[in-house]
Amino acid sequence: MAKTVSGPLWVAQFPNSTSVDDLTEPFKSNVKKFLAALKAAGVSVSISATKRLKERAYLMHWSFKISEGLDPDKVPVMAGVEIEWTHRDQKGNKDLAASTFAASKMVDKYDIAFEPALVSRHSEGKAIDMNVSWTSQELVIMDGSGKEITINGVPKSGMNSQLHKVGASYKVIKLVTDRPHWSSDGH
Amino acid sequence: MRNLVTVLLTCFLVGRTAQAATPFNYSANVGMALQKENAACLYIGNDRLTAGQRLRFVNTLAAHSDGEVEIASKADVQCQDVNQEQPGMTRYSLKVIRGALRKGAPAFAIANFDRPFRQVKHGVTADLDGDGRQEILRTCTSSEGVHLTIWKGAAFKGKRRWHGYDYLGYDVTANCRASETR
Repeated sequence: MAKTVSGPLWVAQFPNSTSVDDLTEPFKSNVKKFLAALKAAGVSVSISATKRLKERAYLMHWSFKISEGLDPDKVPVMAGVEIEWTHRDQKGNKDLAASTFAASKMVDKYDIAFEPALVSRHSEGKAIDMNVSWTSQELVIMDGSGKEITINGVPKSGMNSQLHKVGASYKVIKLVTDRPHWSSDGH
Repeated sequence: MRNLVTVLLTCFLVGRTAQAATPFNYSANVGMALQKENAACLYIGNDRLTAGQRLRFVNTLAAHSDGEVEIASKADVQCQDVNQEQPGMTRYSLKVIRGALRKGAPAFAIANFDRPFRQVKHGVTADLDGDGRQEILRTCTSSEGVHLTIWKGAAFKGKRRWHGYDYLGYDVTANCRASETR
């Protein structure tokens, strides 16, 4: 298959998912049970990310590296991503400036300022990012063992440590360094 | 003439005392400035900033950059961001007066401050509270977010005076220390 040179048109490829159905088992079932418990308790949930494709991570990571000065010839190929990182002039000579410029355009469109990781719990389908909040004085929620738990502490959000214990009972573990992030193992 | 000197001296001393009695309030004077797709935005624990008020900003990434922004309007819909909605947090849209906010990289935005920033090994320093000692401003990444912190004394070991977080929406390599993310 003919390759397509790098550039901002690639950014629309391999979009991220916000669907729980795209997660990997058994994490998918665990998340569904936890979300059902949150909904039954009247908690507001807004999911911003579930599965992130490794192909998108590849495009983000290497476009960032090239924009920072990496020789595009040094980028490893990835099966299923027919991108040509090295641009050439009309004579077929390598055009480093054009390659760097195209990668920079991708970085700009991805809206990234930090080096993206190639692999993560999201790319494995084992993580979900969601904003969680409630307004009631007390939150009564069923944990994974079917026991009713009353949460009366603050914050009334996904950063509540009592809610983290409830999530853990469904094997949905909070990563406290990142407000919306929950995963299969807390990473 | 002697009376005039006495009055001026009194005014000077009263002014100094008043200044010393008003400590720098980190949560009210420090926020996060973000360049969004269609607007520059500020998220800060202060709902009393007014249109036209100016703030300094500084980005502490490798080649630090600083500048000045001006409050454009409060609660601007263009700056709505579910990840910044927390109790006590107010959003404003900004007009960039000097310098440039970098897209995707949150900057410290500081009100009631007009002293220089200096690049050091662990970030940027500035005497924010005017006590003659430098505070350290740091930026680090967790798995998919950026943590901004301000430290009194040594970074990581001193007293943390302020903390801000921005969700990136993509995975990065974490380089924060535990004390920077708590």
